Amino acid sequence: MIGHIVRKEILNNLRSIRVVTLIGICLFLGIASILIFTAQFEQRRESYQANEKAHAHRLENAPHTWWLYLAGYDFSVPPPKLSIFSQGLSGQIQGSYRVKEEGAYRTEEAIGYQNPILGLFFPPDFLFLARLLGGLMALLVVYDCLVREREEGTLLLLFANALPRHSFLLGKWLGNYLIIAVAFPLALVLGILLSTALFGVSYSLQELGHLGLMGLFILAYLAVFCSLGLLISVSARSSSTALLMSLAGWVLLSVVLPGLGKETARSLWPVPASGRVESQRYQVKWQLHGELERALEAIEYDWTRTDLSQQKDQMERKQFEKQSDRIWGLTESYLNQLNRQEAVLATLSRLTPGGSLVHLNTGLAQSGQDDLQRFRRSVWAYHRDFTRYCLDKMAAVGNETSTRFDDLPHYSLPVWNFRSWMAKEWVDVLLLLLWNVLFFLIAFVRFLRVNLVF
Amino acid sequence: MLATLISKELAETLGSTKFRTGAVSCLVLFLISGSLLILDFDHQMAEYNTKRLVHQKLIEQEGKDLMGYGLVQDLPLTPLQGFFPGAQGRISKAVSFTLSYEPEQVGSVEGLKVEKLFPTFSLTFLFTILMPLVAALLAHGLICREKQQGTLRLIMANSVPRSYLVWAKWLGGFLPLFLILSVCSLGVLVEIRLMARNFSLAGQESQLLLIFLTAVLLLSVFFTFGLMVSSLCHHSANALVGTLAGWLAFSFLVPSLGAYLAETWSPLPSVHEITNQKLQIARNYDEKEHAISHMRLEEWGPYLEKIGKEMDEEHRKLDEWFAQQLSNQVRLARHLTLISPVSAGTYLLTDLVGTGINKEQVLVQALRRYWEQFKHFHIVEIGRRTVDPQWYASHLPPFRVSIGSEIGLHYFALLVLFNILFSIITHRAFLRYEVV
Repeated sequence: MIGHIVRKEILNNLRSIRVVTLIGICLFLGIASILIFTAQFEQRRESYQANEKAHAHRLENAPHTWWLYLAGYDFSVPPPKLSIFSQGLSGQIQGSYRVKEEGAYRTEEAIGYQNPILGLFFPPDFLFLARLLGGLMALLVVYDCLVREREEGTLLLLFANALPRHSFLLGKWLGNYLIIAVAFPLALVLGILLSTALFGVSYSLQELGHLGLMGLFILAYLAVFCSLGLLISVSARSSSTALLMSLAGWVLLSVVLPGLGKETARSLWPVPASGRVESQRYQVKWQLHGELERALEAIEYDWTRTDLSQQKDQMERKQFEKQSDRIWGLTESYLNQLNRQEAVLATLSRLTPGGSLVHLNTGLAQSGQDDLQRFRRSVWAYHRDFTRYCLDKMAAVGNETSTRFDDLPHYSLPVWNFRSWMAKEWVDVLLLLLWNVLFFLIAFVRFLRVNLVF
Repeated sequence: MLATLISKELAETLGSTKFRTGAVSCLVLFLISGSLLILDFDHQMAEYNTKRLVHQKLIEQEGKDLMGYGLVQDLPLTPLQGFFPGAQGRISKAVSFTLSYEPEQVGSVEGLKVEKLFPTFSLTFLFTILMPLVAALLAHGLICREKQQGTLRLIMANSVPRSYLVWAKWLGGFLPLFLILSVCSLGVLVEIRLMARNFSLAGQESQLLLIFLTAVLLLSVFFTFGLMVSSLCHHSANALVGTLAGWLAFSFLVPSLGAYLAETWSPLPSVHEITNQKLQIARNYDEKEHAISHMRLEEWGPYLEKIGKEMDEEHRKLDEWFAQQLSNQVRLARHLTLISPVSAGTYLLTDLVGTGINKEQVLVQALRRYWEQFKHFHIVEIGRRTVDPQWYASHLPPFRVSIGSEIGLHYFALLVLFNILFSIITHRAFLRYEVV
């Protein structure tokens, strides 16, 4: 019997211009988004390669180690390939960075070389479309599946056939969900094929596996909104009320609630402005430089010392090591506070199904919260390696002696690990299932008490 | 008769659950978004003020040494930029100047934050994307639902001119929407007055009024669009789909595709290509400079001046050529995106606030001019002298830029044109509309 209801729903939906148009729009936008972001990814990759050459050229032209230590060493981080599908925080991670005496900084491309319109109208990525449009599409397909039948009087006719209510509800859910579930996975598959054919982008097995998982999570997310739409359809007394409730629900879950997390996290766990820790780093630098100058002056005119030059080098090295340790201590303390605030934000964002979807998919695309937090730490860890390298080099060849830097350790991104990702994200998978079960159960309980006629 | 029809529509709209739910939802959305934006901007101002002090202190401590390592200037931050980010949103708030390299944006690694995963929707987004959706959805069923319910033929049985009905539908439906927008906008202003600690909008009343008028105009375009779709469809479900498809096309498809197509059809050389060409010019200059070893001493000065001028001329031509290419691409992108009223509304809003495309280019020019002043200060005024950091800090040219705002009358005209176009189509479609 469920099979008949599912078949009926699928056929009704396929005959409905509304549903076919909605699916067509989502399919088209999904594919267009993937293609646009693939083109952008290629540009960013070319930019990364050109940046690497420019950085190598800058390093070659570094006059001596002391200049390198003060002016800094530049390196670039490549764009993750799966950011084509889920931008997440890849825009924050990918780019050029500089490590120098007092810290690590992010540097952007020179200003005024890009079309400013790109900053005004940024295209939505696939994840954004699935989250916002997918949810809206699911609600608009399902919102009147029950209430319309009540209005038209066909619900009474159906239940005259001794149809169990749970079978009917499950059939309705399945029939509508199978239609909704077509658009985004199909767009994903076609997008991957077209991006390979048109731009020559290739995906490894692991990346395809990640994309498969992303598609599955999007399906789970769409199921949540399908259940919500069913609940609304059961609860509403007319189609137009059901439509309004669907839109209000969509705005609340997709627009309002996700934005509340940030300010709530800031209020619950305030962190000082990042400028303050930068200021503290400079204070450490100036204070220790001042101490070093005074200490050097104190031994400058001590004619009894035969190893004055060596002594000075040792004092400088100790002072710079002390500076590096203190700067690292300040930064680590700040990053710990920031991580705690972000943990609060992550917890609050999980109050909406969209939040769980974002965490899951951005994590798979290596553009998520954990990736950014690991990245921040790794850059600062590299800063320590860079400082140690410069101090060793200055001790070996002298501060202002021209030398080559072929042995400078290079920065490498932290390696992504599926197990540690799963260990953190199983909660989001569970939450998506929970939302589904919750909305469906509430819809079922309400439907048991619904009058079949008005 | 028109007045009767309008009052009937007004009463129906104001009394409907649909309107009340929409009004409450919009008010809640605006108040929550407004408060989030205020808190966010307060936070940004706190960050900006802290960093400005740090960078000022850095100049006072390190002085002239910064010319090699990077002198950081902070760009001004205004409240309206926080609420209506535009093209300038891409430029970070701190720019580093050195003698050898072009100005570049800098930021701290700790400034990279996870909260960007869940951005707060700006007022630009609310006025240009969400409110038009609300307007279009409120209008989409005005005509076709009356037909479905059977009341349309009853009205037409009273010899009501069709154009009267369309005007009544428009006025009766749009006026409550205008009321919602006014209340929401006032709500946000009151919030700013009560909650904002580090900024105020005093003295910007005329700008705020123009912003409000822009939002009203954009809202009317989409309301008329929704009414047009309603007059073209006979079933409200189809009208809903048509309205949504139109909103999606206008809000997302046309603007982003337009910019992307302009990039493809009128490509720009990358910044690296330009930088490499400039490096080549510098290398050529170096090679020419070596030639002075074969010259007499008295010929050095004029020769160096000559090759220096040639180098500057080549740089200038390269910059002008690139500026021309960029201008062509921007113009093409603008023309392609203006097919959408959302684009026109966005250009208008961001120009009013000072975060538009033209204003971004003004900022870029100001940064380049400052770079020239910076180089002149170091090379000519200081030269090889050793200067005290305090002297350096007090004599360093200050970075000042006045962005101002601009009223794009042509965008206003375009939005009015969209209104007229949709209105004409609505009237024509309704003249042939079957009321049974």
